[in-house]
Amino acid sequence: MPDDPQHRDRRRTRLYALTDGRTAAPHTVLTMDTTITAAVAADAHGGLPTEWQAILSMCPAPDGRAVAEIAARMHMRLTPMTVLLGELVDRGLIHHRPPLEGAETTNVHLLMRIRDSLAHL
Amino acid sequence: MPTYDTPAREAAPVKILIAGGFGVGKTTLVETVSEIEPLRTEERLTAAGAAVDDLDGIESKTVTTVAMDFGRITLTDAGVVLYLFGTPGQERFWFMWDDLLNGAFGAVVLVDTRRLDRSFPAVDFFESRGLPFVVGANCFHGEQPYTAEEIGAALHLRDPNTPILMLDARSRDDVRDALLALLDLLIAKAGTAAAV
Repeated sequence: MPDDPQHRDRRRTRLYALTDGRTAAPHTVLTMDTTITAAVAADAHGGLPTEWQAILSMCPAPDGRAVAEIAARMHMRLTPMTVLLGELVDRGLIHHRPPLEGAETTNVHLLMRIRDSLAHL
Repeated sequence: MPTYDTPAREAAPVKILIAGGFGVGKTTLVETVSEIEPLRTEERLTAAGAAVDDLDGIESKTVTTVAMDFGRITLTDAGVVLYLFGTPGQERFWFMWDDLLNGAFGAVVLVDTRRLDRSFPAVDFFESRGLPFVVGANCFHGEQPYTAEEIGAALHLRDPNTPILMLDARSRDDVRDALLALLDLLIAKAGTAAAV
């Protein structure tokens, strides 16, 4: 069955192909605002799927990229992207940094640091 | 094989939502202030159908693909990166999407004073969920026929102290000022919470 025929001009790679056949939920839960950084160089392991290498090379440390940004750049929807990235976390290929907890929204010092940096933008 | 094991130096992610009705300038705002080219992140969402009361369950649900604008601002000095998410246009879907709201520091609700009603749902939603927000009245060159007080009254804001800014979504300074107003609001709330 074609997937969204009116919006897709190319075939979407099936998730099970990208995750090496695994479709079970990975152990790590990633959200759209989690930052991903590569734990290894993209060409460190011969034989990694091209999509995995593409992810590794777009997320160099220390900055990395948000899950939402990787999904957009890889032309994948959020949910399949998080499944794939969770697989890479489980294999130790990438690090993930969760967003600041809700408690940080009441950390005045942090908020003022953010404000000052923003004001100098 | 190089490995990178210095998570302490990574910027901490901070999520901010850019909401408002259809066609009000959310995409423009994110583009204006983001350090990267505009990106759209897609997700498949399900919403219970309001019109059909079907006990079967499956047929009563509607599935759609929504798209969010994504942008970011790295604030190296503060050790954070602001992730800006422009909410999808289909409100009945994203209002049920907890992952979008979870962890957000706050929101900017963009309004068009010619079509204020389009931004009512976002205002109601954030008020009911307790997410701090500022209102940005989008207009060319920041010129409005209405005052901030008039806009606030028309929006029936629950908190009369909710900041309302006149802005041009194409102006980097205006958008930055809106984000600064949001930070000021968060700082004020944090100060109040600490004093209690």
